[in-house]
Amino acid sequence: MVFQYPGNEGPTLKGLDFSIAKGEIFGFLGPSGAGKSTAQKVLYKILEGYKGQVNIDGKNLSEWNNSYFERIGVGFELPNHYLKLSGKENLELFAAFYPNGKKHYSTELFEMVDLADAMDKPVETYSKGMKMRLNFIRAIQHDPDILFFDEPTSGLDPVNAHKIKQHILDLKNQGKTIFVTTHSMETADGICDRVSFIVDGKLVLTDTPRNLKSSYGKEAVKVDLKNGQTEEFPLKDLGANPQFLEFLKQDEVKRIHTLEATLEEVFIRVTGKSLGDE
Amino acid sequence: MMNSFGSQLKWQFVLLQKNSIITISIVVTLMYGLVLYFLRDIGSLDKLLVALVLNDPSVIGYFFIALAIYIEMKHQILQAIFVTPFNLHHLFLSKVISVSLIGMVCSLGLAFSVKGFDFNIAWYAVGSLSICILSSLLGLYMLTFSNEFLKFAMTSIPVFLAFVNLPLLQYLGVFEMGVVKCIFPIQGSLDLIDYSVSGTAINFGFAIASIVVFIPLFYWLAYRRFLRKIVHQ
Repeated sequence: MVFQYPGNEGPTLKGLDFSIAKGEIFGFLGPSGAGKSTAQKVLYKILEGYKGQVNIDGKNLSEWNNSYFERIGVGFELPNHYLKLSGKENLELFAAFYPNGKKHYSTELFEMVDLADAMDKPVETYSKGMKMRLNFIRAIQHDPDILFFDEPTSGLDPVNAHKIKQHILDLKNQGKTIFVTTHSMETADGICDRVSFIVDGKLVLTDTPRNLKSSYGKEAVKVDLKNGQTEEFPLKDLGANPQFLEFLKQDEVKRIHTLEATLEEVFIRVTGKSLGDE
Repeated sequence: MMNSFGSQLKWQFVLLQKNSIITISIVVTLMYGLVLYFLRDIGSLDKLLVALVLNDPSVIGYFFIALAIYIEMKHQILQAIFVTPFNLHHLFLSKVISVSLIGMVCSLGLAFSVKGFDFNIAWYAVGSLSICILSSLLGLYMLTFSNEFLKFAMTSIPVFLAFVNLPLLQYLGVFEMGVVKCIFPIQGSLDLIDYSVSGTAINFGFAIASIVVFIPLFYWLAYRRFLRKIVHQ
């Protein structure tokens, strides 16, 4: 897939090639401006004029009619609601665009994201985190098979970010196919079955978070003792390693942890860029 | 169960009310209506009424529909709508009809304040509704040239003057354009309003034909441009 915005000198997407299996959570991990959101916009048909071939369920994207939009749900990066309407009215207004309306009861959806008390209040009184949670339930209210989430935990406090990640995993368990874009290593690591690193409109590497972390980290544990001593031991046959067992006897263990790389470290090593880079 | 179009029309009225557009329209109409009511003993106000009716509902149609879309653009709501199986004809028509009905009701209010029930309400309603529909479609077309309301308002000045005030000046006798006036999109509606309030003899065939030609033409132009510049931007 190649895409160039009209008026731009070069393409924003420079030949992306990837596939997402049914029931999988697939993530694009990359810094701002890498092309993550642009790729999603092509897939949910906001942007036209791409080069290449995009197939959804074996059918070319351009051949899908309006029924495509009944099958997809989009959670945008930024809140986009009618501020003068209540949260419930916003959901009802959008449900009117679907031939079969919404398939989930509003109350259940609002309870799911802890917004039940605010569902009848105007959205202009909501915090950014509340609006983001409203984004989330609007995306799923018509029970789509394919979900796009652009920075799904952006603007959320850690508790609500954790809850949204859990809801995304629940959706996966219901068989939904989910495409997430994020620059949050924790989000990608926590929910994605596979991630692709995207930099400057190109995919650099695709694999499971576990493989990436173990491939680029050390197969070892690091032990810190209370007396200040620190030592690393290979994971292989760790329980039968006499040096390791002897080391543990020297003092109380302060910390013991594996030396696999974090996704962010892998990203930096592979791409030479930080996830926070513009 | 309410069908998709009916439900969208309902929501457009809800949005207009929540954004105070209906209230503002009614208040402005009441102010105009009161002024006209107290002036009605000083002589015939037919010309002033027609001038107000041409300006007030057309402003409601033209600017309020654009304002509604700019609010949706500013808050990126359109983007969210465009990833639903929405029907652009339904969306377009629900916006145009809701704003136009408000404009028509306001213009009827103005006429009642001057004429009581002593005018042809049916033809007057047809004329004022047509002006509102045409001006709202023109507003939808023009907004595709600017990405913010202020810019839209500035570029609208010459367009709006030509759209409303050229036919008005011709009607007031400032100049005579002969058959050229037939190219004014609101000329047919203006003739119907003139007939309704003053009983002026008009060519009904032309008035109806003008409305029947210009509304679909404006709709087609606005729809195509909106689809190309806003939906598939």
